Amino acid sequence: MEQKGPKVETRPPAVIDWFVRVLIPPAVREAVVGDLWERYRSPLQYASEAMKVLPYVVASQIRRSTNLPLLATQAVLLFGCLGGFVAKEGPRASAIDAPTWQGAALAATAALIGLVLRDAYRKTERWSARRGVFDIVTVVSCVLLSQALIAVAASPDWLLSPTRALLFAISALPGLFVLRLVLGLDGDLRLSSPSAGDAPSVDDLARDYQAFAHRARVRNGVFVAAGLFIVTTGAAFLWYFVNPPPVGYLFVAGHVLVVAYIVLMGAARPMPQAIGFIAAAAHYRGELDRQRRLFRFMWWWFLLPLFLGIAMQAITPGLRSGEILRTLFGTAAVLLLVVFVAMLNRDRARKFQAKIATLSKLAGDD
Amino acid sequence: MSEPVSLGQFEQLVLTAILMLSGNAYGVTIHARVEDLAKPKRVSLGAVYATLDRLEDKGLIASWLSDPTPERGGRSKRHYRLESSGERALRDAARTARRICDAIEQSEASAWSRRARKWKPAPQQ
Repeated sequence: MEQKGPKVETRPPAVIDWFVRVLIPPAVREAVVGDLWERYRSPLQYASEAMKVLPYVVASQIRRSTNLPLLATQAVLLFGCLGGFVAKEGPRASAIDAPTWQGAALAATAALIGLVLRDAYRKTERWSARRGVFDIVTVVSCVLLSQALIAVAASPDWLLSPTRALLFAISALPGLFVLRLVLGLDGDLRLSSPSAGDAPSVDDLARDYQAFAHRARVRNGVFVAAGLFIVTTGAAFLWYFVNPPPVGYLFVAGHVLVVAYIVLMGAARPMPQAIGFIAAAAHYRGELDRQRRLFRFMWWWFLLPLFLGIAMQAITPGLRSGEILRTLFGTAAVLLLVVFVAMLNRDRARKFQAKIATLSKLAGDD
Repeated sequence: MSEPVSLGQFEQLVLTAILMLSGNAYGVTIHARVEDLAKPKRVSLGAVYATLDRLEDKGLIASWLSDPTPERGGRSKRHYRLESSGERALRDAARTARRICDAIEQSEASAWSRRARKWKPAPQQ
């Protein structure tokens, strides 16, 4: 007679397995969860081993996916736009309510943690506008969460006022959207060749140029979308604000001009028909150089208000009132921001230069 | 010639494990082999994953996903192999370790001979 013993489970319970799968970053999920299955002995052993592995794999993914200059630029952008540099009290207090610097730092830290974790848990490196929108949703959710925590556990002085929150949305969110999305658009900088070792033909070059022009169009579309957001929300803000400062009108007018320039002149010019390889490569190089310059300009343009804001809200009031620490803090923030943005630009320019050099080599220019 | 890569002790253990496992190096087997090498120390599986990622970023190892297997719930294994730069770095580390061993043995031998010279047997009564 067949004896029935206790049923031995060789796989983890579905609920625990689901939790483990959700917690392990997608980039390593397949291999790590498979390894944990292979070592499975009991539900408790499986869960405890997964919890021990988790901090290591998350930390490793954070290290792999974090771009330090980008993270630092985002930190200054968030802190500045949340009003961290604004005087809270005294004769130099800002006309717009600001939280104390602690409140701004807490909200900025929450948003940065959200962005870092989002990068670590990203499924794919592929570029999409949806990705940029989710980045913004992450930032807004984290800032709201930090406000809830502050309301419950800290001083009400640390909370953002509705006006400051609106100003944060106008100034920080488009900048973040542009910063994070545009850096992911590297597809136009890889010269695809038909097969290893073969020199590309004019048709290959034309196909590659079309892909580059498409990417440039998408990138410029991102700039235009961010610019239009700033123009509309900036105009609404000026209408809402009593006695708005003249610099506000200049800010909105400047964005209108830049958006108009990108729409009219930003696209990569189409490659002329029936031209030789050398002329096609020269056209391609010229457009690469033009897009590189446009890209660099846009980078600085979106961050310009932040520089002006820090200068007006931290350095100048600090100098006037003799607060050395405030002046030093503002100056250090501006200098660091310049260094970080220059590092990001240099990295990007290097990729453009590499492609220009490849084209020069193919055209036999060196 | 490329710059020599400096390796931490744990990185050396992981590279050695991959070298020993040759075609069958993936998370579970690497962890088991590293635990053997590091005895009596216990090694966490997570630390092995983090080190594998770091070594891959340094270009010392390469990885690829195998076909899914049923005992892993239909999931693939991530296999690892040493790159030539990884082998070179491991050999450099082994040479350094050997020099350290030699130096320790030499200093121990000279200390022993000094002690032997100083030692005088007590006179017999």
